[in-house]
Amino acid sequence: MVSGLGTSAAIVGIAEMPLSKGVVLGDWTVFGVQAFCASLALKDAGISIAEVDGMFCAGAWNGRSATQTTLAMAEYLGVRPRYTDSTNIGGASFEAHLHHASAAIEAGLCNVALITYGSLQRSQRFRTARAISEAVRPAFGEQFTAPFGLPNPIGAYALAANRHMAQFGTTGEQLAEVAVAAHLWGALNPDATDARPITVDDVVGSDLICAPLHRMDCCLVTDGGGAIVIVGKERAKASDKRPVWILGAAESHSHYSITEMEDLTATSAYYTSGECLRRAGLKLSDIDVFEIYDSFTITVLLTLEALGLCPPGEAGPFVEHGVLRPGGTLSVNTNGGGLAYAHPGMFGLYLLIEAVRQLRGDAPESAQVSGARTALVHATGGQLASASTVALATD
Amino acid sequence: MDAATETPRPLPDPDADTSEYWRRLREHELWIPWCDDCGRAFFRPRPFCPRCLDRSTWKRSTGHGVVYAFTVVHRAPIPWFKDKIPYVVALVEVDEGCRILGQITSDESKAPAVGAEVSAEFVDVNDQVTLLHFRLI
Repeated sequence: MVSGLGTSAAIVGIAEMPLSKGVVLGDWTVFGVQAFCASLALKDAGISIAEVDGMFCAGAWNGRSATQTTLAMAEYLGVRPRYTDSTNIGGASFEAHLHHASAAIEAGLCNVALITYGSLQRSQRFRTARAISEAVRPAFGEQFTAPFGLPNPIGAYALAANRHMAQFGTTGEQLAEVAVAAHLWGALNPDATDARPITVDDVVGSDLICAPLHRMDCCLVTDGGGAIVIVGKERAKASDKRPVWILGAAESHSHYSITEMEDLTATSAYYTSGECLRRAGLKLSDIDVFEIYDSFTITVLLTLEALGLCPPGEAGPFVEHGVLRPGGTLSVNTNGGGLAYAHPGMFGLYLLIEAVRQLRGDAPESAQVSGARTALVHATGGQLASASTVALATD
Repeated sequence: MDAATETPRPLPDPDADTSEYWRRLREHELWIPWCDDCGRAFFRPRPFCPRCLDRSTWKRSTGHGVVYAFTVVHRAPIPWFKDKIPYVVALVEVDEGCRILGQITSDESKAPAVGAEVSAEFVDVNDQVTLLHFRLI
């Protein structure tokens, strides 16, 4: 059905770091986690590390947004890439990597692209240390936010949620429904970190962190890691695995600090989702599975509107009757997402891996979307700042 | 020594782009970057307009504005704010058209709301630094 619409590159290998209660068991470095995932993803693809000539990597290592990430990872893995990309636009980095990798492969700039990510933020408790170190002498844009005690990133998302409520009448209960649905999907997945069934009352009754967002409006804080292998058309067709074609992609960002976001309820997803679908030659109604970045419940509501699944401002009423739940009319965040499955700091790679599982038919049986052939992955990074959409499909 | 408990309030580190802003604030005046070409204000301060890239100038703001969005912080991001919670942080749209983040000074007689009118309040935190807060009118 969809082959021929831009099948120049495909995902043929995926892997994810096993977690126990959100933590990587054993003694690992963040590099070791990524090497382990890379080895599994390459094995999944039936490709040797010696063939990897495109390196893509982003992360926050030792609690700091890391730079020169591909240099460090390629050195660790013994790779000398012909194409290298350390793009870091927050949690949406990996969708951008996939976009760049498919373009590079199509242009003949590399043949086998490897994307890796690793995080030990939960077991090594980086987040608190980072917040403190950033606060000591806030420079550049931070000098206009840090002195006022706006927690990062939740403060930015809380401002957006507050604005959405004031502008459109969205309620805390409607936000909570996003978390309830995520936990119901998580309950179908034996690998989900927090598969407890929860209710709307549980969410709105949980501690306020930054009003209007409660603790259970927030994603989990876990370790994690993963890897993805991408190859060109001919190689993909010869692969043992069912190729997951990258039919289209688009990315953008609108600001760095939330203070410079033009409209707190309109992310760059309005542009990226439309552009991605146009490039893929798909309509929204063609999509079987949606994987949507859910750093916070508000992130999902804003994205549903931007994707065009409901009109602007109407995501609250749109979700409140269970459309996102298993068995609802949409299949969204089918592993439980960042709210229930895992969230290692940058969730974008997990969205892609889950989309591939669904399209391969490899999701846990009760969470497998029957006959899924197309997936739209949308990631949001930074302070609602970056947006990156990818359309994937199998033959 | 516990580094966490010793962490002071984060205070601005003025730079070439922003020292004029902080100097004026110290004099209890709010000056915002302004583009003559576009006829609009923007924020944060920088010497080039983020719409047309012309050199920007400064314009004094009345300090009057409305709350564009706010959050009530219940969990302190760093230890210094622990005994301040809950406190209100708001994005305020000043009359000149740009948005500035600041705390809303606690006032038991008024609840913050989107669209609520506020005025600038200059808070001297030490003998060198003044921060911009806002007070509900």
